[in-house]
Amino acid sequence: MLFNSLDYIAFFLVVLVAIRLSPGRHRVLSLLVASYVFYAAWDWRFLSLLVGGTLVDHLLVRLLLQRAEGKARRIFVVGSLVFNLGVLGVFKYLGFFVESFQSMLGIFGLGSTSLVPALVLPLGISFFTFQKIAYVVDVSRGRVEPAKSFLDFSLYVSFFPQLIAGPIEKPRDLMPQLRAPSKVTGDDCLVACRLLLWGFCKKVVVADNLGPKVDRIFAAENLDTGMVILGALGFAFQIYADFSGYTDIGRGSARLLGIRLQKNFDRPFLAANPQEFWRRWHISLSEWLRDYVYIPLGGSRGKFSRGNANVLTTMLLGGLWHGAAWHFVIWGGYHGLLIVGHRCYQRWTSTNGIPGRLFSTDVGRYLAVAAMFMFTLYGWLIFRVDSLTQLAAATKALFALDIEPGFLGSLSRMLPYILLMVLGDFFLSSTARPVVRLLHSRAWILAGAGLILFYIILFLGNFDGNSFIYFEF
Amino acid sequence: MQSRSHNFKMSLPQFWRVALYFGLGLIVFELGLGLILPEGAFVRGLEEIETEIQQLDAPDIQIFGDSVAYGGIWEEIVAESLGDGRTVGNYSIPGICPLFARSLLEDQLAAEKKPEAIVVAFSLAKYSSPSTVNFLSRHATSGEMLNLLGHGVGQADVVRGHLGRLSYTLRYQAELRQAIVSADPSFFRSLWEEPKSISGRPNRFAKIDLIRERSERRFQFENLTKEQRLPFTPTESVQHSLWQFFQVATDAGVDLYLVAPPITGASAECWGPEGEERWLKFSEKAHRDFGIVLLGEGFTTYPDDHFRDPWHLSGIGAGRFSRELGDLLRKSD
Repeated sequence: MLFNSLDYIAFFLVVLVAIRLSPGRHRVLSLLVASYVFYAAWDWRFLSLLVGGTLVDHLLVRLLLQRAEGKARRIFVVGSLVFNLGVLGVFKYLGFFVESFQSMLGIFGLGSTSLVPALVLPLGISFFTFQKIAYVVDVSRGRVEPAKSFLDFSLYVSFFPQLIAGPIEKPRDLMPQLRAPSKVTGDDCLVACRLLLWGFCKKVVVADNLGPKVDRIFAAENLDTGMVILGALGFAFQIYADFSGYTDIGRGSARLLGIRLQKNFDRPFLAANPQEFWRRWHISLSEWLRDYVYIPLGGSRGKFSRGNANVLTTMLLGGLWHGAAWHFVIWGGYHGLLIVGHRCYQRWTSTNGIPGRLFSTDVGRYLAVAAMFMFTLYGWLIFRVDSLTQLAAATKALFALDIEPGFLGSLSRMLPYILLMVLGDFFLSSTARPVVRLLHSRAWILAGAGLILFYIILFLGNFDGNSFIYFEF
Repeated sequence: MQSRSHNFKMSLPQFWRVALYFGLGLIVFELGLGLILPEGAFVRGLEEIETEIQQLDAPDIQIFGDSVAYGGIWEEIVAESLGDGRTVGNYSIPGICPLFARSLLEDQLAAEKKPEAIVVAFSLAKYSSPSTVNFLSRHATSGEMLNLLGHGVGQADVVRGHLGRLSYTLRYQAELRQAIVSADPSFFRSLWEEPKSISGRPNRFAKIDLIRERSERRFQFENLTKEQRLPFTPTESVQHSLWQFFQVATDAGVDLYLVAPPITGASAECWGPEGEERWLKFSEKAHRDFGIVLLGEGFTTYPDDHFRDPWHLSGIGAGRFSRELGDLLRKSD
């Protein structure tokens, strides 16, 4: 059941009414049933994986809590990690690693037939697996109260507005809210409607109209500089609109149920350096990787070089999390190198007594944002290409400085959607405070703005029922 | 540049007032649009076409399909190519979906206007995406929609059909979007056209479409519609509706032929040999169950200049397809 479908709207309205009518304790059960129905609508067979996996972790945590501190506890945490990463590995990475191994054997003329059957990737597995790991680790460290019942934990794992593509919620943020959702106020309704409308707009107007244009560029046999720039630019806004659109619809839905999900995006293309980019892009994943990979590895403690190695390891794993393909690993490594490069620059300026005044001015920051955007675009090129061969060809074309005459025409077909995205982000941010104040000054102005957005969706939306890019991860 | 919350507080009654204004605005806009813009010519003309089908003398060979056959098959050329004096009538209706075919044929047979043979020539995209919702929202009344429930129409289709009936923008969303995104006003112009009767078609084709210029467009993946990007897989509802249609025709003693209209190279590539195999299996089953004759073998691909858009034939394409269809009919006898 896609968020951008009439089925979801009907489903959500039924859930909303059912939750309103459910008394107290039954709300958790109602939400859990709704979440399982939502998941089963995709493929009911994988519901057993979701429920079974939740049960295993619940039992491991119960056993863990019965033990005293120390090694005995660690065994259950390790057991949970092995189980969760094992299931994720089988479904998501087994084929990839075996195929890579076979390709390697192929170089030496050995092995050719496929050793593993192609497995269907269960929807949202990367997201709910990470949430379960966060819960087990946090409970073992005493950072969060264990769930009072299997129902509570199951709902935390499977809460439908964020089940398929996040945000990856921390147990301490989401579980108390699920147990006792806050009363829905007028403000909540307004914010929810804004998130839903703008989320739909980003998905069906921006992402789904840019998508075919980007696909066409990357399907071309020969790429020139202009096409590579357009492909990367188009894809950058497509994936941003697609993923943040999904998140907004999920957050809006949750808000109407009295639950606040964390913000996952904060205008990432305004980042002035790589660290800032990851504080603005897929924030919940960045925080998860920081809390459960980077810091346990040692973080920035100890030697500078060790810190850099930890950054690279974390980012390589982050890249691999996105998909079982080498270009995702390279994309993660590329961002890791950008962060390491920036750390080195920061160290160099501080050890040499350079105050870094250039980037503290407005002009300096604009320059830094522009430079970071260029680096980000190349990152999206790595992310989007179909193969490493295409990446090599695109990189070569990028430096050939060969722009075909059709470049401006193609750019003009993409620009309206990119501008819509930029303007929407601007008007919904605090920097447009006078505009926001004007909108809130009269009820009819606010309703009119909502209507304009509604008809932009209806008139320009691509309702082909395209899936969300991050569902693949 | 970090964002902060807006700090504009709103109570529930205030929110409901905004929602009320929103709802009122929606109603005013939809009513206004419905008053300014008329229904499409074919929507307005369908009832007349239904009546006309019952009044016209049935041709010996009746073509039945959607817009692809409507503009892509010229009865005079088919008849000329047949060369045996049999009459040919193209009763195709743009936007029609297979589920409507049965009732149309039943009405025609009830009026004792039985053709000798029917050539079913739906666009291949219609088999996997039958445009049921478009058809319901534009042509069916609430009662008709409910009657069709379970006969190839699902509950979700009925809900969408009703929403489409209520809202002009939903009813013509695809056309409005195309007109705005492509800055092409032809949809708006077409709204004011007179509905085309079946008997008025031949002249129109002869005068206008035969001189249509050769298209220079190239149809690549981006130009393909959603339906063309789907693997060619006839849906259960299409099969159900067509089988009902075939049953009515067979019971009345009408010979049935099935033909796949030509497609672009991009569509053929997209659907691949697997799609073609599914088409052949579908037609084999129709042959087994009703003795339907498949004209041609598998998919026929025409060059891009034979199309005016990714699936509708241009004048040159229509002429060629009509000749080939006549030849196939002659050979099949």
